[in-house]
Amino acid sequence: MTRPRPTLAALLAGVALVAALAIGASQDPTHPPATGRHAGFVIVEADLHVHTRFSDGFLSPLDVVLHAHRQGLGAIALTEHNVVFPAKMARAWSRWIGGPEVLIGEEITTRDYHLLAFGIERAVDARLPLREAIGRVHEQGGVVIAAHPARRFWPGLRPGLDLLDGVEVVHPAASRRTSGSGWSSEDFVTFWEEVRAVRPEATAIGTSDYHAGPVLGLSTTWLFARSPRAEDLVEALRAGRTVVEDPEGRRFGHPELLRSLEGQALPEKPSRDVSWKGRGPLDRFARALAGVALLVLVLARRSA
Amino acid sequence: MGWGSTELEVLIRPSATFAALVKDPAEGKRRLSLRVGLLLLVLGCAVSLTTAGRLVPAHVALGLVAWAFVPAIQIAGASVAIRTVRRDVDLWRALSVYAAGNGPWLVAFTVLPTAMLLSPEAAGSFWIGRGALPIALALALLHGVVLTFTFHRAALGCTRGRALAATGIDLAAKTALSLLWFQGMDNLVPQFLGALAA
Repeated sequence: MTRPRPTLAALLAGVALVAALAIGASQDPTHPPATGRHAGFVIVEADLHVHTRFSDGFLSPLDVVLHAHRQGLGAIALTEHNVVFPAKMARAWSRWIGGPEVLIGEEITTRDYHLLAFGIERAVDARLPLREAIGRVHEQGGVVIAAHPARRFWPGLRPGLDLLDGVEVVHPAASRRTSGSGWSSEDFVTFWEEVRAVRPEATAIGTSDYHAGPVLGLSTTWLFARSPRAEDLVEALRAGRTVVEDPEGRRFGHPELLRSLEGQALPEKPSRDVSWKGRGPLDRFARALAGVALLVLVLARRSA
Repeated sequence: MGWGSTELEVLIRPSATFAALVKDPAEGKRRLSLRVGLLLLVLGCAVSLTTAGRLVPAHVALGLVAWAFVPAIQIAGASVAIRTVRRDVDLWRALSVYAAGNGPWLVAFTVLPTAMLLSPEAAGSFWIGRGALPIALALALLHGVVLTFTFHRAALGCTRGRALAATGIDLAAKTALSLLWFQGMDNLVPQFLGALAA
């Protein structure tokens, strides 16, 4: 049997695809993470709420690490719904390629509440009642943050108010600019104040709740840690040494840190591309070339 | 059509193309592998384009591996449906012809990321905020279901009733396998049934 030969269209599409890959690789930026020092602590920028293909995200844990590296994040926490092994995969991969620090996390996801757990090694069963779930995280030396505390989660979260270590105060789906989810940033702030009334030094975090697309690092948390290592980042979270800024420029976080940072700018974030702006004409040409090449491969006859 | 791919021909003339393909002796494991490979390449490119905004070799390769479960579930679901309605056909040949019906997904995962990238200002509002992306994917799903029905009618020679039953089995098997995957990740029961009583 004779082997089918590729058509001219398939050959050209293949060459165009290789060219788009080569241009893409040459245009792909890697930003150094934003960093600084304040009050004896090193400042690390982290996105602490990230999902992967193992739940409802689009990327593999390995892709997430590459993207975090591209976006110039100092650290990420992989917080899959109810499992931790994808975070461990990401940690191993990131160590291997010299990527950002990866915190092992879990989004303990139930109908009634969502919790972000950091600094754990074993998954916490999401069937547990709230206080017991928080206890299991604390037993492992971990930190528990109320995830996106929209009004509908308040009844589920309130029984654990005194045990919560902090609140996800800034979240893209609740910000005024991207609202459409029905979540309100004012509700998140109200819940944050409720937790602070019980625990004045509760931890504030801001995240992108990343699932897909370029938006990793859209909103982030500044951690004030003894070192940029994962265990010190978890310690900073436990001690509440964080500052977050919402899109309106309001800051939330550790009261003393906020006071000492008054009038001071936080480290400048890398100019990460969160809306597919690209890097100029060559980048846009490569995108168009990739799209056309793929379309030709799909729609044109491939073998003669 | 002299210049169009088999997938395009299936999109334009599904019954005639499926009927012709099933008679083609070249249909079998090799063509099935090529069609699965094309789907994976398109998925890997979609991962890279929607993440980095450009094709990056590492994202294409990793995306291709991470999404390999899609054709795996597709082949498993299709096998169950084909074997239920026709035990006498060569399964690999039938699967190869079935995979020629991937056109709606191939087009969706090629056109959507490119269109989103070339209209960056609209990325947040039009494609995601106003639901153009989910609507486009829902249309691809619906078109895929119609092609599955046509495949059972035209390629396997099923009656309308049996083709409808096979399409239902195909969909049910794929849905069940997807749900199994998410339950395996412990993503379903806690979300829908809530925490255990204290």
